[in-house]
Amino acid sequence: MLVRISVLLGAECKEEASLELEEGATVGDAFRRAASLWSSKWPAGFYDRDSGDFYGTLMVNYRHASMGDPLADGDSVVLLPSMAGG
Amino acid sequence: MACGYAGKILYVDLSGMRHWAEPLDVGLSERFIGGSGLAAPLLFKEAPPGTEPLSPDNALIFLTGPFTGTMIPTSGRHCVVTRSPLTLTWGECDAGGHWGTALKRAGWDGIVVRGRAEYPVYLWVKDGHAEIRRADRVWGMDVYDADEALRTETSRDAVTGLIGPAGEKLVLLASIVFDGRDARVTARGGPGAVMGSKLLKGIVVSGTGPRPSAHHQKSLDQDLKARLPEIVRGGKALNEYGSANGVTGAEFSGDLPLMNWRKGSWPEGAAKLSGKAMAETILTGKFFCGACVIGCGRRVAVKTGRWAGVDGAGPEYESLGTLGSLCLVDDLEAVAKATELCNRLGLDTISTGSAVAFAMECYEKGLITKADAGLPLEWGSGEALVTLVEQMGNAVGLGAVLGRGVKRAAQEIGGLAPEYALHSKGLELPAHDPRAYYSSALSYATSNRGACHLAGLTHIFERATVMPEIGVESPMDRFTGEGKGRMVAAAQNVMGVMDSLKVCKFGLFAGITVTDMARWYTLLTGRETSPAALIAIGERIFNLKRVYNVRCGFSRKDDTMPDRILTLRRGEGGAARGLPPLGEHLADYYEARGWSEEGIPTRETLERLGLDGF
Repeated sequence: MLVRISVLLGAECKEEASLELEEGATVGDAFRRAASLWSSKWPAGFYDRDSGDFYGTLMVNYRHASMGDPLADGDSVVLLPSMAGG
Repeated sequence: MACGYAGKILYVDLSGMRHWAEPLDVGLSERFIGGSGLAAPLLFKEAPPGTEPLSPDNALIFLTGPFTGTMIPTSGRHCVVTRSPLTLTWGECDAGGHWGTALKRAGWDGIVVRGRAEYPVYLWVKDGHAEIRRADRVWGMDVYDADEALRTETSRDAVTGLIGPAGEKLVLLASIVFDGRDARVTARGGPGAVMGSKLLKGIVVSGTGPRPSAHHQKSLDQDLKARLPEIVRGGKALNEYGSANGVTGAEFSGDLPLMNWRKGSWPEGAAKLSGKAMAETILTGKFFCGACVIGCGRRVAVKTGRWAGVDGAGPEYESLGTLGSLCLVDDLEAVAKATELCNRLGLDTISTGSAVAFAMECYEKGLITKADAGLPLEWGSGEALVTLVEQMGNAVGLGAVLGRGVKRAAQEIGGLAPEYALHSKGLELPAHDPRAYYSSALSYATSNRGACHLAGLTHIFERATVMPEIGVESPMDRFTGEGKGRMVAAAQNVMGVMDSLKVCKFGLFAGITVTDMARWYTLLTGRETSPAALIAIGERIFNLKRVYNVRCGFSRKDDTMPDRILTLRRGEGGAARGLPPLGEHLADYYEARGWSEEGIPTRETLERLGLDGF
């Protein structure tokens, strides 16, 4: 069975695309799939293609999340370049 | 007195060289909480509207909030409130660090300073004891050196709040720097100049008392234990790379100001100023403010090369966005040097960077010459940046003019210079572009201290942050005006609550909610409250600050943004075509606020908020 999620990339928070993942997939699985598809468009310092490290904020349904968190059908994953202000 | 408060305020009259304690007004603490909220009625009393900012009559109010000194996350904060000499408006600044915690543990909620000493002094507060001491030996020293000297003279465990040479010389962009080399700064609007006008070099505090206990201590402990893991997780990116990690994302979305707000895209330059670049080059460590679980503070050192000798707090996002990208300086070590100079000399990095960018544009357009500045003011020149910062902090040369802020400097330089001076109510713009997040235009224009990103922090709601407590259930479209007037007013009310309780705005990025704050306030103080009740207090606070400004002569005519932000598109990058429709938003905002078309709180509004006595 597959779960269908949407992935939103920071800034505009417009829907970038939907992904289908295996049941039991985690945020990390979604992130790696998104990176393989779209990282060429991501801002510098957001993602290190060599190490796979991510330097932004992960959210699921607008709540902070970790790479290991499970995803459910219909979840919205946000990959957000870090916000600053101070 | 409710738990969370020390119950007394230290009053200092420097003209009479005396000090005394007064009990904290319980009724006021219920209506205005603490911090800058509670400072509002105090400023009305101690420095009524119209008070000359640099006269002995002005008051300099240092206040903690009920959360300060507790283990509530990100609460190690305090505020400084005064009438601003830069903007002539309500003046308010907030800082983290450990000074506020030390003051609370010394047994004080705050300090109110008035008058003017006959010679340089500093205030030494050791628990319940206060003493006004001569400061001749440290007058003229920079902040880092004075911090060392005064902690040697008092206690190595003490925490300092100091002005540098800029404050002593009444530079209108002067700040007050806390915590020495781990600088945490109240900067905007020139509070350091007010302190300098009183011949007060600093306030040194040692607090050895216990942390404030809570009314429901066990429940609060359990609550914090349950919530902290998520907050730590939410703050991970800030911990990893500091606020500097926001630079590349801001550039990507068109939020990062470039070339005095004239350029739209600069990815290579932004990458050189990023948190990752800092980590790979000059970073030597991290530090935390009191009760913080995020730890965004950076320590940096430059050991070799042109800018060798830098050793202390590293540049924050705002410093990188103004001393760096706004001037197109992509040399991270030069920006670190300029930041350290601001900390040592006691200058606001935002306004200082803005003034340098303004000068660079004036140079480009022929209004300032090489002879005026002493060197070419080319875009991207780290040498020009550092030289002008030194001049501004020491009030010499062209820096003496720039140190009066871009509004005044432009009037002195003349010609088209006012077009290059970007400010609102005389306060230089922070490093978030309203053309990328439309609500920021309205938020800056209506902020009580002038252009301020922290008074509303509204752009986060046009990005990915939600706040159901104010009706933001999902992020708003950043390029439309729909609903923005009401959202900005509500967000400003929330930020006023945070500045009163004392919660860092970065706590929102880590997932702290208004519901959390209301629950913690109840558990700490024993005062039953709710998110809605807290936000209503925030509305009262915001309106009282507005009334202060109205009494100082401010109204709709001053709720403006520079033409460049409203009429010049960035042209490329993530916000290429954005132009915020401020006028349209302003009408909705006034309606949401219950203000007249002239931006004056109506009698009905003041009565509803219990402010008719002001």
